[in-house]
Amino acid sequence: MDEKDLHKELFEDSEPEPAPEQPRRILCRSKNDFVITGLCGGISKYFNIDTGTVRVSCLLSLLLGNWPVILYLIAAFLLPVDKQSETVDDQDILRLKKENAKTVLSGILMLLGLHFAFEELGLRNSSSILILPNGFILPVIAIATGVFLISNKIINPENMLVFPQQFFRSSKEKMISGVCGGLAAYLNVDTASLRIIVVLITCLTLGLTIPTYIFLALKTPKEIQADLNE
Amino acid sequence: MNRILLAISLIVAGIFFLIRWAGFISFQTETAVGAIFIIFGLINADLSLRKNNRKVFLISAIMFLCGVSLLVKSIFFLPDTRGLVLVSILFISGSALLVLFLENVSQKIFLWSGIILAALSIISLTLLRMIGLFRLTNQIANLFEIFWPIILTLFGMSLFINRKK
Repeated sequence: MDEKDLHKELFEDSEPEPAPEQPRRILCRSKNDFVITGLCGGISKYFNIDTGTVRVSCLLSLLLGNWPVILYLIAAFLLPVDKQSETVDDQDILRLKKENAKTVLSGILMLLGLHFAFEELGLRNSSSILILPNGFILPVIAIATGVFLISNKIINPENMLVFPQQFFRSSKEKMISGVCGGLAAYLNVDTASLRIIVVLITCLTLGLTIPTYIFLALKTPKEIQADLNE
Repeated sequence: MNRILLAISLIVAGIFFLIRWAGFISFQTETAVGAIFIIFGLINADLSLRKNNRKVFLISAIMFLCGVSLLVKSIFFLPDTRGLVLVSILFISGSALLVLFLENVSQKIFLWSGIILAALSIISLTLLRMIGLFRLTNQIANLFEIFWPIILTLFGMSLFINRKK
């Protein structure tokens, strides 16, 4: 049996295995992950990148001018809504809504911060974001936030919060002595934000708050110590 | 924080500032913000006490005190307003710690820390003022006036990084 026959015997009878079908990726608006039209959610799913990054990038693109808004509206009008995506449960929808609200707020803060910083440094001549002048934009943002808060169905979780009874220095989230981490845990707030506020207060008061910080650091028990005592 | 109350405060403030921008009425920003902070702080403190929410209670107390200092600054003539900011920050921080003590009286540490900060605010208004503390405060405040957009951006970035928490 020559080589040709051997090849024929081995491979000709057996049917070639069909390649596993790859689901076709289509760029469309997200049905579940949305703030306005779900375009950013769709883009992030298509390119497999974080939705928050896409959303904040879109907001920051407003620093370049008005054209991103026009582009967004055209894309939102042309792209269909994703009908194939699975329906998610209420818990996931709530989590997504909370995350999206935080993302949009952070994006707006960054946009305003960078806008005014560029203006202060002379890198940006325009005294308006989009077509809205600086004196107009802040009241509009305030009204929009108010309307969002009233219309949004995010369940306020404050009834479910359980606050710790004792104040300890944190051993997990510590920079110097864990006072800020401990205070953040005691108040159930974000540690990084509290730390920024403490640093700002320290700078603004020319370090006059440092004795209080040292007092708190010396007199407050550490988290692990407290666990051992218990 | 009471969502509806916050929403109404924001909408009312926004509408007033828009009307002022259009030129129909005129008022000082500090007066309006101070009044809103006082009303919002008082109502919200009451609601948070009923719900036993420590975080909101503290924020409401701070907002109320900030509102009072803003209103005082806008209504009365003060020769050194920047100096008042320094004293106010110290006093409000001290009061916030005292509020934390009142909320949970077993934590004596907050009482002593609050007293230290309140004492420091009085010392800065009397003794330290004599040695030119307010001049330094002016320089720091000038720096903050330049760099406030950076602080805003930092807050945004912090919120963005911790959005999934």
